[in-house]
Amino acid sequence: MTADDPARSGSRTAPLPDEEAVVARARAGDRAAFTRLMEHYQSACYGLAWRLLGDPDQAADAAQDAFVHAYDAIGRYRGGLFRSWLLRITANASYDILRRTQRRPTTALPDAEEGEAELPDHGAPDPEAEAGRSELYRHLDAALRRLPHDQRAAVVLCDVYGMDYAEVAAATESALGTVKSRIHRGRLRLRELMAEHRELFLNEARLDR
Amino acid sequence: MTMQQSTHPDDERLAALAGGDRDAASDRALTAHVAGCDRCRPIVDELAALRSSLALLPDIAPARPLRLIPPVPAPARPGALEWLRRLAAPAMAGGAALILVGAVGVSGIAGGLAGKAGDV
Repeated sequence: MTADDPARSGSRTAPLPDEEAVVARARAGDRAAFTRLMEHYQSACYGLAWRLLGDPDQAADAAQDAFVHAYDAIGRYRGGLFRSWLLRITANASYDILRRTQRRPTTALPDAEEGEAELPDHGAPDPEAEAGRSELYRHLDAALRRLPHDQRAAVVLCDVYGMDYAEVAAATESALGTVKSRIHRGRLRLRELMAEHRELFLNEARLDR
Repeated sequence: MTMQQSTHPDDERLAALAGGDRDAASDRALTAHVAGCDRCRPIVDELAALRSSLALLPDIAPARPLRLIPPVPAPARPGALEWLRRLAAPAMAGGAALILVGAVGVSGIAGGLAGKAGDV
């Protein structure tokens, strides 16, 4: 099982049908091609930034910073999933903002109460199939917000976006051992926070088999 | 036969195992314990199911459109030596020379007319 596999979740942006060609043109300096890629992946980038930062304006800033960095770096893109490359850049940009604005990494977001109104509308493309799921997603995103920043970043990057330990360590400028510890503790804390919704994610896992 | 043993691995080890951590997965004492323990196995299953769900969290559209591309950088201004070179260059129609100096980047008038004027 890999996280961040668009084939597994219909609500994650899959690659463009002609993506290799578009990326090649973007690398060659074609600004329209670059714009098309950023437009295509903006929800992926914004989503990651929002889950790390918890604030829509900061998330928009982080995503826009990521686009600038991607524009500068696209000559160095060497292949692999473009989405993954762009999300790594977004994680770095988000973490820069997180570091500048959060004073204590072990605190959670200030407004992190279950069920608050400012959770995003996940806008499921397939309402029928996603009806039961969107409740689960809302609870998960709410629970993630209640994790201390350092655990939240680690769990979001690893379990939501499929980054490996080394990638998480690079994005959060932390040691490998520290990252592992945060991921594991974050998962345990998340389980506690999701205890009353246990059936929702257990059902999801059963359906998935 | 499964049973609840009196000592259990740290929960963090269970979390590692649930996430497919290679060290944990190859720790036979750990995996054997979990397989046979009614306390630990459900915890690992739950953590794995939670992780499965996290992997399905959707992308999120921003409420307002994002700025997708950096602004076009301003053309580089010629340095002092470049100005002197142009003053010494063969005379051109005055108007054309002035326009080109404004529009073209660092590359000089003599060398770079055709190729550079349209580039960003």
